[in-house]
Amino acid sequence: MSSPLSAIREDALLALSRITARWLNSDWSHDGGHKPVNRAAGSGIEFIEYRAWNHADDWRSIDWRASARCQQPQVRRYSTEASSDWTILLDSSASMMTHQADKWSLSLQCTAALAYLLLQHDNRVSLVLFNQRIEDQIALGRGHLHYNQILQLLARQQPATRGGDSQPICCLPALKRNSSLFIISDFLIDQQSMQRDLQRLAKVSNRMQAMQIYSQKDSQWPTFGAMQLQDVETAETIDIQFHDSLRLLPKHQSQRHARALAGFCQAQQIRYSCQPADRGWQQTLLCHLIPGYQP
Amino acid sequence: MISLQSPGWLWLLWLLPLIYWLHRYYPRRKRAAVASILLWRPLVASQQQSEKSAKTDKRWLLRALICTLIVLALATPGWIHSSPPSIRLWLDLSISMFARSQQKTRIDRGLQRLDEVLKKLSPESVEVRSLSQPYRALQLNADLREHWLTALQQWIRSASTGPASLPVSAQPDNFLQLLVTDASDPAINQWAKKNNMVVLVENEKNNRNLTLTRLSLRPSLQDDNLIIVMARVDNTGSQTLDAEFSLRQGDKILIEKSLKLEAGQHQTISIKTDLYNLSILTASIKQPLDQLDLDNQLELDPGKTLTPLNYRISAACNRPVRAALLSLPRLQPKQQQANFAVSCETQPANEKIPQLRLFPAVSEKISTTQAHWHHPLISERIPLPENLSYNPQAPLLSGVSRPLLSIDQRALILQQQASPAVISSYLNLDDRALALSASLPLLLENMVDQLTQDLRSHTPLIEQRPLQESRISARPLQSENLPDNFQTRSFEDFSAYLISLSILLLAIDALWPLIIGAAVAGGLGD
Repeated sequence: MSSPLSAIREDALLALSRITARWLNSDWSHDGGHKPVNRAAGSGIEFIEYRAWNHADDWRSIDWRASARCQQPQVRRYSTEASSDWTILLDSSASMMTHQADKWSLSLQCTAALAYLLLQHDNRVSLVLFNQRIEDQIALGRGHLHYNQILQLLARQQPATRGGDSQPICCLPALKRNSSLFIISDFLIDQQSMQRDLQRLAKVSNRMQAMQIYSQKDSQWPTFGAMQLQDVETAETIDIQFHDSLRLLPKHQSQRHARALAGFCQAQQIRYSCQPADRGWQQTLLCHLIPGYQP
Repeated sequence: MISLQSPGWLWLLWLLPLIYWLHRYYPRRKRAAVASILLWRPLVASQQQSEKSAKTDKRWLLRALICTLIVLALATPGWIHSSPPSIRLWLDLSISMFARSQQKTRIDRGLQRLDEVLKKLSPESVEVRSLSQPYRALQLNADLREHWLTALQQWIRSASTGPASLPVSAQPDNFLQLLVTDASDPAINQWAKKNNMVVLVENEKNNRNLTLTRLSLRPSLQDDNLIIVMARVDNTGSQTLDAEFSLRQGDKILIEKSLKLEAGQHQTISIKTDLYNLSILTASIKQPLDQLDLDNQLELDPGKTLTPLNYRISAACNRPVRAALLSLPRLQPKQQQANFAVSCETQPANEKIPQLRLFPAVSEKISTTQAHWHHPLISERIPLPENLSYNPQAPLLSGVSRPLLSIDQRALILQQQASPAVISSYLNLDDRALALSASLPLLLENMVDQLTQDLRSHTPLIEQRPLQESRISARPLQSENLPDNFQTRSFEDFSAYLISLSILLLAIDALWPLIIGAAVAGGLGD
């Protein structure tokens, strides 16, 4: 079985680079009202000012109109996004491994792609894998070497199929204050504890984004007739009997759960998207990065 | 008309509550892992509500239907078709059926009665078979109904008469079975009853009934050479009857006598005969008018009457012999039998009294070799001295002694026919050759064993037969089991259809999760 990370291709990542830059420098990325800090000039796309050309600059970056106006070569300066520190929180609880680990595969791909894109734009990125505790983490860093470390960590990570509750609040000690958070999880936890955790994380972060990965199979009846359902994380069981009138109730319950999470995130100015696990990682990232994007 | 052949199976429908219990509670719940119980917990309450509102459990209905169909199939439902009867007619062509009375034989009267029955039933066809030759058949078809009686009479004349050779089973397929008999043979009566036949009996209104009921035998009290044979003939009919009585012993006719008995009377014929002749005694009667050699006879084996009444062993024995005799286990005081006595008294040498009395049994033969004396009833072989000779083949004549066992031409055991019922054996136990023989104790023991094993009762021998089992008189049976309006019924069995339907429903039940799964999957797009 090939690793899900093998689906990450560099050309596809480069195709997303421009959109990522817009996302990082636009309001999309800080719906929460926080302003990006340390906006330095760099290889961004947002224009800051003109300056005189020097020999270190690429001659292709010369703005010929401004040079004509000023009678000397001028180059444009763009703001850089490398001023942000991003921490990606990846849920590695057992619930991510259900149904052939489709949620986990997509989460791995999105994490790897997101880390690449953020690093490409000179952001510092750290990665924390958590369930009810921090399973593994990589401190803030940048560059290809750092990306390779992230990839190696993701490649060797294999969540347990049983046990391990999702508690994002356990990542609090690993967070740098005023850093940006990006949480990837299925958020199949109790609403009250989920809201409490997200609220506390939002307080310590500069800005926070949440991507919920859901699988339609989670809300499908596993079998028919009488059955005993067991939570893969808490091992809690309930006895239930399939009946046609109950057929769609788990699906509705899942939608209710997602709506409650979306409402809470909107109230807390946390950027939130809910992505199906059977979608490709590119489409998933596009849907999250671009509001209103329809794949 | 729909009918059930085995309605008793319907009691199994009481098992439906058990099947409901198994359906509802027995299947263990399948365990399935889910990502989060959060999505399912609210369903428990909804389920309880939906269970209350659920009107029917379709799978339970399916299973109940399967069980009901299987039980119905076991009850063998079917459609009964009625049609004109087909008759299988059995004729008793034994000799007694040709007994003639008032110029008509019983078979003639039986055919007249049969004709009346056939007119009443109007059968589609009649298959005629005789009990003497069941493999022969005559088929009478409806288009020649007027000639049935003639054809039957011709067929009976060509058929051979004789004792019945009864088929093991005469269970009809779709036949009404009729039997024409005089019911004089108990075996036929039993066979007809077992096969639920309609029995047509022609017994001349039961007014002739002469029976040889008893043949007995006892030793004569006056003369030991004779036995007394007594036969009894009863007339239980309503007419005075003549009969010829005969008594034979082997090939020798002892007596032939004409009897004339009034209704209700009986007569006893008594005759003395020689006891030496052990051939079987046969008494028989026949009716002079019919001149038929009827099988109405009784037999006795006189050999069975020659049983010893008392044994007495007395020998002019010396001390070793006396000790040997008294040490025999069978002759110990506790083991002694009432009619067996041993005394070892000193007797005058010249007085030849029977000292050991042996009584011959008919089937027993003593064989010997030169060095062994082997009795069939004795499993052991007794080694004897080489100069000992044993000679059971010598003729045993009245009044003449024969040496049964001798050594060096001196007789050790002499046998003599003292009376027809008694053979006396004289043991010369004082002979040194015998007395000093190491085989003496074994020889004595085996002789005593043989005597004690042959003890039999001395009651007179009687052979008798109940009046109703007489072969010459018919039992008062009258057209038993004759239905008023018999119709052949054919049964079209439905159970195969029910079994097929049950199998189909069982397959649906087995595939139920898949079927429901497909239905649910189809409904997910809703």
